[in-house]
Amino acid sequence: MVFSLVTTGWAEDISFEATVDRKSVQLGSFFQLTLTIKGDQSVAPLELPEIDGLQSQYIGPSTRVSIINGQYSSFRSFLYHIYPTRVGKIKIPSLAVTIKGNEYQTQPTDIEVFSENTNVPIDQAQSQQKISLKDRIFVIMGIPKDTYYVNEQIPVSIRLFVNNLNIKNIQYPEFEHTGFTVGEFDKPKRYKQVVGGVKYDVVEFTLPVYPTREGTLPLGPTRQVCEIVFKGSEDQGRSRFGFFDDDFFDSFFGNYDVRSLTLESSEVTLNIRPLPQEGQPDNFDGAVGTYDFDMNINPKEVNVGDPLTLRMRISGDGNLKAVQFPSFDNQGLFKTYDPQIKEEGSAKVLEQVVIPKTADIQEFPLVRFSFFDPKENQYLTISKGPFLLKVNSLGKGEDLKVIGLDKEGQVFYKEEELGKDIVFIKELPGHLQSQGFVLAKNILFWVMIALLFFIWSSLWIIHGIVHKIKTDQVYARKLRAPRYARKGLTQAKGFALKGDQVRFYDTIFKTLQSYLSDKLHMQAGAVTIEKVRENIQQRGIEENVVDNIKDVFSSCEMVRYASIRSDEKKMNAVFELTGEIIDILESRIK
Amino acid sequence: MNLGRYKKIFLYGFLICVGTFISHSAYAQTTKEEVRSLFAKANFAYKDGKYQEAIDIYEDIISSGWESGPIYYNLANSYVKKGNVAKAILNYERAKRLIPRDSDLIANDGYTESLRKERIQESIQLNFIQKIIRGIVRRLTFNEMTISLFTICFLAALIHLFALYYSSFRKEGRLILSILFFLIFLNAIGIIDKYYEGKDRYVILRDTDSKFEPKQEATTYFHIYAGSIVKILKDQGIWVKMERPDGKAGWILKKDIEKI
Repeated sequence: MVFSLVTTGWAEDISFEATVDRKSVQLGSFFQLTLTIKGDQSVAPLELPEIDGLQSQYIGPSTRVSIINGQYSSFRSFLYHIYPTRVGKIKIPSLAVTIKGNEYQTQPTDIEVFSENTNVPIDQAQSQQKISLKDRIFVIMGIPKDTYYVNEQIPVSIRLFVNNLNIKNIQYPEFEHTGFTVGEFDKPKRYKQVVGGVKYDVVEFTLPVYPTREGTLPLGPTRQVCEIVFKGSEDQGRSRFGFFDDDFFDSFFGNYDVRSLTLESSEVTLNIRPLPQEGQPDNFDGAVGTYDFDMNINPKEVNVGDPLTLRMRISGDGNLKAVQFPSFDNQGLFKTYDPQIKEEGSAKVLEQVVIPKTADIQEFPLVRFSFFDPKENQYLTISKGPFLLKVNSLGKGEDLKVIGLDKEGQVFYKEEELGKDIVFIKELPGHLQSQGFVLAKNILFWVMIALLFFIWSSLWIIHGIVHKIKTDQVYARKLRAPRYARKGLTQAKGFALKGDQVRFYDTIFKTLQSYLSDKLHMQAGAVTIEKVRENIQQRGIEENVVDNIKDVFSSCEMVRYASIRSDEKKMNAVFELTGEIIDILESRIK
Repeated sequence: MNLGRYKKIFLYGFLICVGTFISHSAYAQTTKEEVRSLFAKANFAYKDGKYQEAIDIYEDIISSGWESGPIYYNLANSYVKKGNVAKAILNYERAKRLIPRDSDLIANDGYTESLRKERIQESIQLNFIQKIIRGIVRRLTFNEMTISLFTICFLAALIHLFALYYSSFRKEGRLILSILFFLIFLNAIGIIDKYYEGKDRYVILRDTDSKFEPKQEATTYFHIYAGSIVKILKDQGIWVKMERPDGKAGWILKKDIEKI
């Protein structure tokens, strides 16, 4: 039986219609919607709009042709499976398609969805209850309490509740667990449970988680993926033969449809507390839980150098992966090898080969295992030993055995495990200094730096001067002029004291001439009053200086060439005047 | 007359220098001989297992104004034996300032590090060059780096003068000077790095909570364990704002820290 939703769009030979195979359907089943376009094969599959209370899945297209009374017609259909998600009256709205610029529409239609427990469609009043799919399949994350200690085992239970639905391919749940380490899932349990008067099939997943830090931490939400099997219509693929009328053949011939479903639980907020500092044993190494600790050694009598096996076992509830085995006080009496550690169910076992190095050993030392028991809310310590151990010394000429063990015919050597402790104290106090002594803050250090800087810069400057003297003749002559002048004046003074007038005036003349030649950078023979005047005027020096020079030269020439005698007073005046000329020119010409 | 004035200046300068030197030397009232005697006494106490007595004597030496790498090292050892990891770390760090290349110190410091309850990763990732510089800097004391910088500068000055006075050496002189200037640059960076790395470093003395505000009732930001090395950013009464190596900062009580 097919219910037509009436074609409303018309063209010459194009039509569009929607049909459903049923108008009443049970919740948990599905029905088929077919959209058929007559007269056009080019239309792409239509995407159905979101319809409240219904979910759709496109199945595929089909085409057919018919020739009736010689008239050819072609049909293209698109098939959809529609899954109700609640009971009640649900309307499929008008659907539209545009073909060659014309729009074609279907008529809306109502679908009655009834509960699985009733075999008849529910009436309008009942439909107000709207039993949704979410009430029939959901997932809950459960945690016994809301406050835990860091690293304490938290049993997490994730339960999938299903009411009268066929579910398959249930996957292990996944959940957010930032701030937690997660253990392995236990084997899922299946049982039935009545909640609010409704009977549910429950699949329960359990696993432990361990908080890694303190604070308020969220756990979850959980996502659970499974497949829900929807039952198709009675005549859809259903065999007409009783032999094939079972689930296997129903499924095989497509009478059931399978859809993937992702369920999500709400998140749980946990308050994670730090472990108490009070009463924490020295050897506590982070183990949190309820544990039992056992230990033994075997054999109890060995020769020096023979191996014995130390076996420790920690069992109980807690994060065994994070539990560290306690160490024993070796005192350098035993050589130890890397332990073999394995987990056996809810227990962790350590096996370690230990070799006594001396016959002085009389017992195997005591070992203490400490943990924090959150149930008791306190630190507990379990001590084992000391164990009596008889170590026989080696016979005469017998050497200590090879460092190695023969296991199943294979000889292997293990690295020596060294003890750990601090290096001994120092015998001498070393270089003593006053506290906070910093060289960079010491004034003597800076004085030394200043001194060296002064020497370096002086040498650099001296080098510069020497270099200039060597390469710059003008500079060199200017530099030597006053020196030579002083020398000449001293010599002249000597002659004056001796009363040697000729040599006095001769020396004065040559000194002044040489000085002017060097100072004014002139050839010695070219030093004339005119040229000196010209040069000095260019330098802006007063005219009377030239007159003084002229007077000195005249006085010298009078004695040198005219043989006119001079007195002591006159000689002193010439001497003073020459010195004055040199001083003025020194101060004015740089 | 002028010569007399220069003599006076020179004399005053000399007196200032000598006075500074004498005052610096006389800073510690206990003599070096007394310190050596106390050090030996503390060592005997340590060897006899009287660790608290040894600690008291080593602390007395330090409070008298003297210090040396071995004093801090032995004091740290005594604290390790007494189980006070925070104080041990504090004194190993102080010893590292004075004898950073001492192999015993490096070994014991590593051992004490392993006793710490938590290790916080530094937030600043160094590049290759920075790692090399930091590696060298950590193997030298501040004074050694100062002397090193001074020596290189002195060498550079010598080479410079030599090249000035012996023109045939100028080509080689330039090359050597370039290398020396590069070393001066690296040394200067190293000194700056060491100065800022060592500045305001403190050790947490006991496990404590770091708060968002300098108030007892403020929200706890994180828990910080004894022995952690932190930098102090601010000082406010009995509270200080400290920064962990990973960059997280919070307020703790001043009494819970001690400067390295």
